[in-house]
Amino acid sequence: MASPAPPARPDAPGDDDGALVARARDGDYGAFEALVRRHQRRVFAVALGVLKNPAEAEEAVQETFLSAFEHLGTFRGEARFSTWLHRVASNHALMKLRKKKPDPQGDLVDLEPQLSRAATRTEGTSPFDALSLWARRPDEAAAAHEVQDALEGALGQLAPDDRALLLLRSIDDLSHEALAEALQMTVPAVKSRLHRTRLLLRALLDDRLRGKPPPESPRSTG
Amino acid sequence: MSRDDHHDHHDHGAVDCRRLVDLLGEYVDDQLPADQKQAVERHIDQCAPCVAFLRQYRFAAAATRDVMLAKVPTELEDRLLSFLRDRTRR
Repeated sequence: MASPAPPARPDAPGDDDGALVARARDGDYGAFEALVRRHQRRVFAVALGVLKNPAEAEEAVQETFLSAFEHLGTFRGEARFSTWLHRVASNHALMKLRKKKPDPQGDLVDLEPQLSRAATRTEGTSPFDALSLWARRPDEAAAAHEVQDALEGALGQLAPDDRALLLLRSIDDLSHEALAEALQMTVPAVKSRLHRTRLLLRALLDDRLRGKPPPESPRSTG
Repeated sequence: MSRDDHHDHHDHGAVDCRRLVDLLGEYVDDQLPADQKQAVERHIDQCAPCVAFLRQYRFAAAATRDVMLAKVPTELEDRLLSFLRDRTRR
């Protein structure tokens, strides 16, 4: 007779995702909930960054973990659980976005003119502390509301796929290889796209903090 | 002197300002070969505008993490666990 599944335990220190997945697959619902607790904030943050809508982001998170539960039996750890989870989450979020009408705030920017200026204008003075700090010590400017608002606005100007790439890297700290797997890209393409996206985000943030209006001729970066 | 002038006319060894911008992604992700990493760091040691640019490049990407995580609702975990228990008949 098969022994019963071990009793549910909280997310014990030392339990890695693989051990929790194995227990969850054996019927330990507590292990599944431990996985949910461990990953839900980061999955939501990535979905929100892509969708820009909290209710839709929460739906994407629900669908992601429901899908994870339904597929536990087929998950054999050939890929890290977190990579698998974030691939599902980013696909859910991007599919939701593509089903919607074009974003009425559609202010995606043309990449090339921004990148041509990407290496310019780090010097200068400003009457605003936030901008002055941004120029000298950006890490110390992070608490300023102007900087947080500008950062959120700049992030929203990136193409959805680029937002997903950037957020999966910065929030989930996925490796280039894991990003390539999660987003169905090659590793060199991930490196190149990630670098261009970071350059663009820096340039857009710099523009916003300097009070430059958004681009007049919006178009997707594709 | 403008930043463009700086780029056009200064070169601190094997890596100039424009080349540094090209290498930043691999530098911050610690993917550069040792010799290129050292060349980047030699340049940064001598170039204040590139130090500022590097800080901004790092900050813009890293701060997105804090901005997005700060928006996670405190009730999300409870709502999500409840939704999943309901949908999985727990």
